Amino acid sequence: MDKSSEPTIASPEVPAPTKRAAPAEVGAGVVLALVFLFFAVQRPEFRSVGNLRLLLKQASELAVVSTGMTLVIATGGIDISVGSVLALCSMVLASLCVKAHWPVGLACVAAIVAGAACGLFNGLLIARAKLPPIIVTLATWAMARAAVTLFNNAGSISGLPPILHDTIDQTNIAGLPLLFWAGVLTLVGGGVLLRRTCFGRQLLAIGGNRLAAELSGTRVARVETLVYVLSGALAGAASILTTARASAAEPNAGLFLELIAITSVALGGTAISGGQATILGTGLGVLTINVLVSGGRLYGQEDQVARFLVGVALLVAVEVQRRRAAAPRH
Amino acid sequence: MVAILFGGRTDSMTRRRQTPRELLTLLLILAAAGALALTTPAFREPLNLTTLGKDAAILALMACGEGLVILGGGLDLSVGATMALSSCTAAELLAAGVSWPLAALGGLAAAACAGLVNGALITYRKLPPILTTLATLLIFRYGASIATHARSFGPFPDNFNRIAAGWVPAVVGGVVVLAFMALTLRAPLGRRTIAMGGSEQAVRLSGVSTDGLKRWGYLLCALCAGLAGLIAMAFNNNTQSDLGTGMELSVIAACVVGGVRITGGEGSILGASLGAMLIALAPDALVLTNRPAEQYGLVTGAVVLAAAALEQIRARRAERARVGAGA
Repeated sequence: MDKSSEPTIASPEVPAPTKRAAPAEVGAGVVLALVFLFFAVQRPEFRSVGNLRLLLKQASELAVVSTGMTLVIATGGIDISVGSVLALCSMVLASLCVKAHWPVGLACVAAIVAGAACGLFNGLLIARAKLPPIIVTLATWAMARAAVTLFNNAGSISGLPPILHDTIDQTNIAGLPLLFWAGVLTLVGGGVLLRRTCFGRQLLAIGGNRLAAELSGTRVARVETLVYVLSGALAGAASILTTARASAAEPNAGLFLELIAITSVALGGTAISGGQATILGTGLGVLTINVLVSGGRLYGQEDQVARFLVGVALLVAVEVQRRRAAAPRH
Repeated sequence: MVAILFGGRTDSMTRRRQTPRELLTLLLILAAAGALALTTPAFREPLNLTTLGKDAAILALMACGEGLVILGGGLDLSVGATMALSSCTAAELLAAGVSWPLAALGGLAAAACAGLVNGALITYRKLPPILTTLATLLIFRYGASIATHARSFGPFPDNFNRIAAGWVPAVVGGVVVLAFMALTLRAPLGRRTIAMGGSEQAVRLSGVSTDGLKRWGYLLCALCAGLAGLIAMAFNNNTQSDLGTGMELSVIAACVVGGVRITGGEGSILGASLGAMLIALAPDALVLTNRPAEQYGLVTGAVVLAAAALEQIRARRAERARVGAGA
């Protein structure tokens, strides 16, 4: 792993200020390639088309949630509530479909709106009331998870219209699952938003130096509120994918998702303190985690080994990131 | 007496004594416990009280360690995983026939190792605390899970289980809280840690090794979590590598509710442990009033938000007073 990170470090004896540092995504790319090669060589069934398709499908929710997380972390904030919000939106979707007999499309919109509402709650408290993001989203995390139990007495809701599962889980576009395209589309959208729009630049400006952004005319409170709304709405969108895949709403949906999303963002090379973010890196981080989970399962292990390895990968990624941050300045 | 308990905080500009920030939490606990005691006879049952004491002690123990880390400007997300690590180590040792004091020491040693790993990564490698302890959360918990094959341990010898019998956990918790209060109010280590949370640079420039302070903070925090893990396993007479899942967020909530500023430098151990008591009271109150215990997240979340808002108002007022006095 150390070897792989070498190209990203500027060697001390060649202080070349004009030389560009290797992009932040290199670390995640190398880790992903190594992990993928390891499983592909060790386990032939890992390379099978079926397994790879499954892997891409499973990565979709994490990709959607991590896109929002990247944008939030770009501003120097954090959103711990996404996993619980996902579970809550999943419950909203299922109960509207099953109990209130709403059309599936409308219920999906309602799930996204519910997520956006949770995000608005976070955003207003963080941007207007100036409360620390970690505390506000921690409180929302606890409240949303508790609110899940208000539906159906803490039980799961099944019996959703089959059209939801058939459309989202079974459709293929250009030979690849729709779920995969949903994840890719969200990531690309997030990337365009971050790199090509005024909003994205303002996000990075706030993360880099809040006061400077404010003084140069950025409406910090508005942009910051919006980014949490976006993160919540994406959690709501991810809940549609989760619910469709399981064909049910589970109270435990999205447990630990916030930690895994933060891990994939950090793995990708986004600075946790804000001001610098990469959606491509996040995509690579998401894939790395899913390769670890999928590969671990082939070894007959439960997710414990994969989660252990995710922890190790996160430490490696943070160390690589720190060296990159330290190297050009010396 | 008040000065000893609350650290004798006075407004340095006006010499006016401020209302201690812990007072509101204390009043809330008294009000909630009083109302429950008057309206719900089941609350007064000895078994309920000792169970509540155990829950509060576990949370308060962990809030002491976490409080110290947060006061110093850090954060430890791995405390729940450290609980699991310590209890699984002790359980393995008990299962191997080791006498119970040695097994308990083994559990604490495992926790100490966890704390040393956190401290080393954060100080020697200068990694950000939140990401480091997020990674070690996964490594400790799932490492314990892999090592024990996620199997369930127990029952344990009666002698070991005595550490969670009756009022013992509450007494242990109380002693640890007092020790941490003494540490933060009187000992150089604690005073400097709080100062470090206020301004790390100032402490470093005054010739104190801030890295040393941090390593002590994470070590003590892990030891507290380890002890809490031992109490929890003895009470349940059973343990598994998923012990204490989600505990890290409850503990941070306890600190915030008790008036510890999340960015460090302000707050007290007494506050953190009072916050822990208040948070431990919530599920008990819900169960006794026939509401599903899962809903305590709604109460906890609301209390955390209220505490954060209060802290914000307090900070703004202090800022205004400082500007006013300066002008």
